[in-house]
Parts: sequence; structure tokens; C-alpha cells
Amino acid sequence: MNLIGFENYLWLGSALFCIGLLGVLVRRNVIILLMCIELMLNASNLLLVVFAKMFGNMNGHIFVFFSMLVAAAEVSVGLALIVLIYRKFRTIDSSFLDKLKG
Amino acid sequence: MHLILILPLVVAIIAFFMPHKLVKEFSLAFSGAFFLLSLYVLFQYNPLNYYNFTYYNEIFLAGTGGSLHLGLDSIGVLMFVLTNFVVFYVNILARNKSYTSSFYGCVFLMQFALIGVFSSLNAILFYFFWELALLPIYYIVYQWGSGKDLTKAFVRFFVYTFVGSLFILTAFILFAVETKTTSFEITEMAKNSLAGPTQILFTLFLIIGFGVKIPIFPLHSWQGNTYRKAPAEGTILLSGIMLKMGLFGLIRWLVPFQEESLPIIQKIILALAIFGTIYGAAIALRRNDMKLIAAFSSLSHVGLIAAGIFSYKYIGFQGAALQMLVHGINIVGIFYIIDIIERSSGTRYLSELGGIASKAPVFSTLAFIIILGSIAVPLTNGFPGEFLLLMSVFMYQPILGAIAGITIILGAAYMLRVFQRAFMGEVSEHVSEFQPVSNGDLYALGFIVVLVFLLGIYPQYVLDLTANGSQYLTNLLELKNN
Amino acid sequence: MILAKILILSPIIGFLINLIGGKKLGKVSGIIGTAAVFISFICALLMYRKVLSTGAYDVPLFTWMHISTIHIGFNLWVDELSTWMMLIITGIGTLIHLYSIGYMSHDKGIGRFFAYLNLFIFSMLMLVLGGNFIMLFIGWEGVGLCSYLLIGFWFKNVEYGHAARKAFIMNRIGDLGLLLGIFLCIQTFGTINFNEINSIAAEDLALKASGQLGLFQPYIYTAITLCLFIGAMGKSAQIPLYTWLPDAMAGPTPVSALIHAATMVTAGIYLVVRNAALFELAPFTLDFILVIGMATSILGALIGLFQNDIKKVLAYSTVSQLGLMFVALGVGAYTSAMFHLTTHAFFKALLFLGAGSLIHAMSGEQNILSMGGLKNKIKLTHLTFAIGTLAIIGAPFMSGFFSKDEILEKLYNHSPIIWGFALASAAITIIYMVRVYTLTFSGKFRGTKEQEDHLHESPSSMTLPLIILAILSVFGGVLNLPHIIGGGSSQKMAIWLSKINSLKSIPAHVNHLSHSMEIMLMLIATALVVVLGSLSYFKYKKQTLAELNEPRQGFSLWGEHKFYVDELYHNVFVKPLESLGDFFFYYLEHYFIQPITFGSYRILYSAGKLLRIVQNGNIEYYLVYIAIGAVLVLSLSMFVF
Repeated sequence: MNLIGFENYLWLGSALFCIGLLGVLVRRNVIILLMCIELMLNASNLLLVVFAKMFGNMNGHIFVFFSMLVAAAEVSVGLALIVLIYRKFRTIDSSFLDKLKG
Repeated sequence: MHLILILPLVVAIIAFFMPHKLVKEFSLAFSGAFFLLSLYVLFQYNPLNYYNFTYYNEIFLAGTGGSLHLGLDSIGVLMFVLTNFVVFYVNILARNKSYTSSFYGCVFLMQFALIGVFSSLNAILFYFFWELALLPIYYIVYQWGSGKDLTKAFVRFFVYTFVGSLFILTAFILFAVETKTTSFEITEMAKNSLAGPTQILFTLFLIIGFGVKIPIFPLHSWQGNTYRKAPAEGTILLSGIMLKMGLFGLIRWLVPFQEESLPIIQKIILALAIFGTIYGAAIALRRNDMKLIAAFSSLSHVGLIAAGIFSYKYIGFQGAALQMLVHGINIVGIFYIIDIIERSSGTRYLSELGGIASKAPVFSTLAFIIILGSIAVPLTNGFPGEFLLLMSVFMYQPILGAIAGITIILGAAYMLRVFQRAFMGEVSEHVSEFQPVSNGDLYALGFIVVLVFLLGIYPQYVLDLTANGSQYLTNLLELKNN
Repeated sequence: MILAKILILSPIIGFLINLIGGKKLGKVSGIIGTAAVFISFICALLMYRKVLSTGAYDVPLFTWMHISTIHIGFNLWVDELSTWMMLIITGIGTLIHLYSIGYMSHDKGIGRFFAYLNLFIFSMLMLVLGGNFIMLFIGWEGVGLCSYLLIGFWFKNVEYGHAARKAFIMNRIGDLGLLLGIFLCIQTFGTINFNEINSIAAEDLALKASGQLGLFQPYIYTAITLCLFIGAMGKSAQIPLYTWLPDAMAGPTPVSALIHAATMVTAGIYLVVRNAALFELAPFTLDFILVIGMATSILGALIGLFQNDIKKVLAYSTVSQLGLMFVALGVGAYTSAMFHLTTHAFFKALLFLGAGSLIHAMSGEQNILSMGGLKNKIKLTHLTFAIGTLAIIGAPFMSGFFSKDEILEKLYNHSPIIWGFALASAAITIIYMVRVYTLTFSGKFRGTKEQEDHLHESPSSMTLPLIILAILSVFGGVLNLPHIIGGGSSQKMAIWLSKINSLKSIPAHVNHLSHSMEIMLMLIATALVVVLGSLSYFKYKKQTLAELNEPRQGFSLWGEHKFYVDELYHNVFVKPLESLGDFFFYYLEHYFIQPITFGSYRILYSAGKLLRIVQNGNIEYYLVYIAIGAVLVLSLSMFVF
């Protein structure tokens, strides 16, 4: 059954997560930010499934369904927001979007 | 029965979205109906033991297994009636002005929250309603307030009350953490007990939290300016009913949890409350703004109520319950009078007033009787409560009682000064164009006058109602102290 | 039972009709008001007969308050003392109401006036009929309130308003004392019912008389009675709370006659007599009362000597006479005090009403220096005023003679020195009363021409009460004739009053005086009246306007300024209190309370300012914070915990 060891999946997940995190921290284009967040989310989804399989606990699978649902909603709202931001500010560079300065 | 809680919320939502033209009559009619309904509840009410609440609603939270209870005990039912009374009067008063629908929405939202406060049997629910009650009044004070430095007064009011609330929440959390209880139901909480320093901390936090709202002496500095700047309706809400939240909180959430007697804290708070009583009266002696005088007189009166509660005696609780109701009625009357004077003559400063009695004799007579109630002349409603409270403090410590008694002298002094300056004497420039007081206003004041005499001649009705509640608290304290 | 209810309700119904009817009733309001009090008077007479035949009885109305073990009922207690007071209140009350119909006929607020008068009668009846301390207190504050309303009746005058407020607040100081006394009674005896308290006190008296330890420590009784006496001080205008009474003359004159001479101010005497058994247990308080009463009596008389306003003189005379009654109470001569209270009610009401008639005739003039020679102009007023003067100075066989003589006799029995002081007070009374009489009625007219043309006798509704009161002032003495005239049984009033609960238990005071001594004392008093009376009559008769208007110097200047007591009070109590209020508001509030409590706001505000730097609005920074935070939390959970 176990053609590929669990640890490989774990490595993959962690790598994906780190790539996402790095992207979020480094890039300024909001669309890229959104993509990177998506990457992190999917990395954690992957890990959840792997852990669920490892420990034989169904809760992890259920969580993944939830988070996929939420991610879908989040992306649609997020993209809509970005479109609106672009219309208003003519830029999607996050370093210029600092109107909420305290 | 759960309707009496939910209906104000429904009306509030409707009022928010109503056209401005209709909302006045709509809210007046509904608040009147609520008041009648509350009287019906009062007459139906069967005074049972303190914790034998007549449940009227149970909200189950799925999954937690706990339940949030609401119910009215005998002191709560008095406050419930008072809430409806005050809201009714706010609507009567607002009739003379042009407010937008959101004002009425706020008022009803507050009514909803206040009923919640007085009927919550669950600490977290209580805290929720407590906070909810603050939101509309913030809005009312800031939106419709006037005068310079409104923002400053408002920010002070906001910060004070908000920080005060946090103390209450902290106290409850402290209780839960210390006793490892999982339920915030008052019946469950009563089974546990605190001891040692946590008990002291719990008591202090609650006293600070409720003390801001009452206000007890050093925590009162938000009061004067807020009362001055707020619209008359806001002031009536604040003084008529929101002060009672604090006093009620003390009775409901502090007294039953006084595990071991804390004589030092009790003494300090009593001393502070009584000092506040004298302090408020002394300040009121010399002020020129009628609203400020009423604010400090209120400080003086509630100080005495708090002192009565902290004397931990049966007569003290009885007196406090009665006086909470009576003070609510009288202070509504007094702010109503001030508002009429301000509307009719354009000023509320004593130095610019004089001779209203020659211009509006009926109004002056009614005002005088309400003032008599406030200075506790026998056979008016102020006397029985003040008598019981003073006696309770006197029994606790005769010297303190004698000092607290000075308030009956000072009270007469500042109130009669107001009456004399505003109503007696020659007609002043401002008063010479005094608009006649409308019949509606006269009937509204007349009803208060009727209450002034009814409760003064036969206070036993209220005392019978609250007897069991007070007895329960007294027994509880005695049991724990022995 | 029904009689007592009618007695109480009749004035309150009159009050309501007059208050609601207001101006519409016009002159009818006077008739309604008078009728209401007259009905009460009839009831009081019938109740007197009932008490005479069946003795004292209780009229429970309803429960006012019930707190744990203490029951406070709305009870009326009808006994010998309360019927006696009732008769005085409603009897003199009716006469004064009748008088007011004429006196106030020109006033627009006549309906209001009668409403207040009726309310006053109601409160006063509550006071004397109340079967417990709370009922007494209700009446006690009620009469204070009515006094406030009536003194400030002409509310447009700011000065009058001040006088009214002063009266109310000074009374409130006394009321606080009374209230504390009530609390002490509840704490000590567990009841506030007069009968129960008196029976406890009687028991204690009996125990102590037989040499045993009493039920309670003596200091408890001293504390209770001192508190009660403070209440009496306020209401009966004793030092230091007497200054309101002369100022109270701002009210219409019938008010001065009814409230500030005949009825309300005697409430303090009533309170002490009602609780005589308690006072008997506290010798210290009795001595205290004696000293205060004596000081008040002499001070009042001295100030009265130097006043020129006729009503002020009468007011200080009232203060002085009340002092004398308290002196009598101080030596335990309770019935003598009540006797003097009664005769004083007659002749002082007469004097005030006479003065009112004078003022009416003189078109509102109150200064006796502007009067004079009125003897032939207003004959009836002159005659009745003369009778009143004779009665108050204690001319032989007038009512005042017997009552004052009885007190003097009891005082001599107690100690000749006190008797000497009281005699001095009586001597000053003779001088100032004769002065007032002479300056008003003898000599030449000193007023303006207009006033002289306007002089007229008052209408019959005003003179009728004067005549009745004059008759009472002359023959009032028969109520309680001294031993030497009719033997023991002639003291009808003393015998009547000795039946009440509080006096029953008190052992009779031993009389050391022989008959010849008593006659001797009477002769001394008589000689004093004759000598001083005629001396001052001739002295003041001769004085001219110039002499009268000479500025005063030294002691008499002090007297004219009432020994600066008002100024003293103003500077010692009122001003510091007002400054305290200002200090609290401008300093404590602004510089102490607000900085401390408002500090919470300041701290939060500056903390917010600091945290603003972090919140720079750039999302990248936030993300970095999140990442750092996540790393920190992770590493903490891995390595630390």
C-alpha cells in the first residue's frame, strides 16, 4: 500500500508552505499575495490529510473539506476586492495601499 | 412571557427603519403599551424566594450543554417596571422635539438591553446585556448632545464606563478560574465560594465596575459633564435607570457572593458612599446650572442607597430597593421639569431665572411637590426609603448614621434654593416670555405627583414585594458570617 | 373612631378644595377653610367628652410600614394630652381662620392661603394625635413645610423667600435630631409606639426608684432624650436654633399668630411632655433643658427690648416665653409648662391678631416708632391689645398671672437662683411689652398724614376673634387655679393631664413651700408688674420722636442687631459650607478626583499613541509580524513548555 512514505508527503507540504510564506513576505503584487496564501492553505490541507491518514482519524478529512470550501469563498471575495482596489487606486502594489495607517 | 424581553428589540428594529414622520407616535404608543404591560407583570407577580425566579425564558446553547436563564426576582421586577416607566417618559418628552428614527431605535434597543440586565441569571449573559445597554446611550449622548467640549465629556464617559465594564468581566472570569466552575449560572455560582485574597480582589473589581455606573464617590467625575452635555432624554435614561444597573448589580452579583465578611472593605465603601452623599450635596448647594445640581443631587442620593446596601442589613436592602424605584421616578420628574423650563424660557441657569410661579402656577405646584419628594418630606415617596436607609446605616454605626443624616438638611437647602431662585421672586427677563406649559406635559408631571404621594402614603406595597428578596439576602449573609 | 377620622380628614378636604378651586373660589375659599377647621373643632369637643367618660383610646388606620419586627402603623392615639392640644389647635385655628377672611380679603392668593392653613391644621393634628414617633414625625415635618409655604406666601419678595428657607432648614436640623432619637428608640426598645416606650420607661423608673439596676444604662436615656430635645429646639425655637422664628414674621400676620405663637412652636413642649417618663430617666438632659430654656428666655427678652418692628418684638417675646416653658420642663413641672402653653396660646394669638389689626389700620406699617396715639382711633383693637399686654406681663388675676406664677413657684421650689433668673426674664418682658403698648397707643401720632387719614377699625370678622381671645386671656387662669385659691381640686388641668401614660408613672414632686411662701412669691411678682409697668409706661409715654430716633449705642446697639447672632451663624456655618462646596467643585473635583480617575484615560491614550507606530497601514509589515509571531509561538511551545 505505502508506495511512497509518509515523510515525503510531510516534506512536500512543509516545502509548499515555506514557498507560500516566502512569497507572501517578499512579493508586493496583491494577486501574487493571494496566490501564495492559497499555496499555504493547500499545503496545510495536504498535511491535514496526511496526518489523518497516519493516525487513522477522520476529523482531518472533514476539516479539509471545510477549509477548501472556505478557501473557495475567500478567493472569490479576495479577487473581487482586488478588482475594486484596482479601479479605485489604479494599482495593486501593496506598498502603496496604506490608507489604514493608524 | 418571553415577549416582554423580545418585543422591545422588535420595536427597536422597526423604529430604526421607520420614516421620520411616523416614528414619534409609533414609539409613544408602543412605549405606553410596554409600560402598561409591565404594570400587568407587576400585579401578576408573585413574590417568591430570592432564587425562585419566575422563569420566562430559557435559551439553550447547543453543544455546550449549559443554558442561559432569564428571570425576574422581586427587586428585578421593580427595576423592570422602572425601565418601562423611564422609557415611556423619554418618549413623552421626545414628543416635543424632532429626533430621527434612529434615536427611537436606540431608546428601544436600550430598553431591551436593560430588561436583559435586570433579568439575567447568568453572569456572561448579564455582562452581554450590560455592554449592550451602554452602546445606545453612547450614541444618544454623542449624536444629540450639545455644548462645547462635548467630545471631551463623551470620551470621558465612554472610557470610564467601558473600563468599568472590563472590571466586571474580569471579576467573573476570576471567579470561574478560581472555583473551576464551568457554569456562569447564578445558581451554580452560588454553590461555589471564594476565599482569601481572590475574594478581596473579586469584591474590589465588582465594586469598581458597578461603582463607576452608580457612581460611588471617587469614580463619579464622568457624571456632571455628561449630564450637562447630553440631551434631556439621555440624561433621564442615564440617571433614571442606568444608575440603577450599578446598584442592582451590587445586590444581585456582589452581596450573595460575600463569602466571608470583609469588614474593612465594607467600612471603606460605606465611608466613601457617605462622603459622596455629603460631597454631592455640598457641591449642589452652590451651582448655577440646574442640570448640574440635579446631577450632584443624584450623586448624593445614590450614595445613600449604596451605603444602605453595604450596611448588609435587612432594612438596608429593603430601603435600597424602595429608594431605587423612588429615585428613578423623582429624578425623571426633576429632569423633565428642567427640560420644560429650558424649552419655555431658553435657559436653565438659576441666575437668569425667577418668578416662574407667577407665570405658570399649576406647573410650579407640580414641580414643588416633586421637589418635596426629592427632599424626602414625610408622606411623599422619598421619605420611607430614606428613613430605612438612614436607619440601616445608623444601626451599623451610629456616628456614620448621624453624618449621613446631614444630607437631609443639605438636600432641603439646595433643592429649596433651586425652587426659590427659579420659581419664586420677581419675573426675570428670560421668564417674561415663558411659553405656557402644554397639557400633555402637565399630565405627565401629574402622574409622577400621584406616584409621589402613593408611594409616600403606602410604601408597604413595595416593601411587601421585596421582603422575601431582602430576607433571603440577609439570611445568606448571616449564614455565611456564622 | 369615626370622630377622629372626620377630625383628620376635614382639614385635608378643605385643603384639596381650596388648592384645586384656586382663584375661581374667590372669597368662598375663606368660608370653606374656616368651616373645615370648625368641623374639626366640633369633633375635638365631642372627643373630649368621650375621653372624659371612657378614657384614652387608639384609632388604627392602616399599616404604613412593617420592617422585620417593627410595626409602624398609621395610628391615632386619643388621650387627655392629645385632646387638650387638639382643642387648642382647632379652637384657636378656627378663630384665626375667621380672622383671615377679613385680613386676606384684598389678596389675590386667598384660596392658596386657606389651602396652606388647612394643610397646616392637618399636619398639626397628625403631630399631636400620632400614636407613634413616625406619625409624630410626619406631622412634625408637615408643619415645618406649611410654615415654609406660609412664610414665603408672598413669593415675589426674595427676602421672604430667604426667611422661609431659613425656617425650613433650621427646622430640618432639629428634625435630624428627632430622627436620630427615633432610630435610638428603635435600637433600644424595638418599638416606636409611645405607649410601649412609656411603659418600658415606667418599669425602669419603678426599678430605679426601688434601688435596683434599671433595664437600660442611664447614658442611653440621656442620648435618646438629647436627640429628641434637639428636635424640640428646632421646632420651638430654642438656642441655638431660634433665629428662624423672628424672620418668620415675613409671613402674613394670621400665620404668625397661628403657627409661630399658638401651635407649631409648642410642638417641642408637647414632644417632651409626651415622653416625660423618658426625660425623667435622664437627669442630665433635664438640666440641659433648664439651662437652654433659661438662656433662651433671657436672650429673647433682651433682644425684644430693642426691636422697633411690632411683629419682631412679639416674635422675640414668643422665643422668650417658650424658653420659660422649657425651664418648667427642666424642673419636671410638666403640667405647669402645658398650662403656660395654653394661656400663652390665648394671649399671644390675641397680641398677634391685635398687631395684625393695627398693621391693617396703619396700611401695612409695622414700625412702632411711626405709630402712637392710636388709643382713640381704633378702640376695640386698643382694648383687646391692652388685655393681651396685661395677660403676658402677668398682671394679677389675668391668665398669664396664674400660669407664670405656677412656673415661678415650681422654680423656687427647685432652686431660688433659677427663680431669680426667671424673674429677671419676666421683668424684661414687662418692660418691652409696656414699651410696645405705650409707643403704639399713647402719645401723639407719629405716622404720615396719609396713614392718619386712612386709619380705620377692622371688619367684624377680624374683631370677633379678638374679643373671644381677649375673654379667654382674662379668664384662662380658671383652668388651673393655684392651691391657695381653691385647694387641690382647683388644679383641673393638672389633674386632667396627670392621667396620660407618660406622666402617670412619674412620682409627684414634693412641695417644700409653705402657703405663706407661695403668697409671698405671688406678691413679689405682682409688685414687679406694678412698679416696672408704671415706670416704663411713664418713661416711654414722654419720649418724643427725636428721642426715639436717636441712634443707639453700646449694649442697646448690640440688642438692636440681635447680638449679631445671624451674622455669626452666617460666617461660622453658612459661608464655610458654601466655600466647602466650592472647594469640592473647583479644587477637589478638578485637581484631585479627575486627574486620578481620568488618569486611566491618559494612560490608555498614550499607550495608543505608542502602538500607532506599529500600525503603519502597510500590509507587508503586518505579514512580517504574523510570521514572526507564529515563529515565536511555535518555538515557545517547542522549547519552553
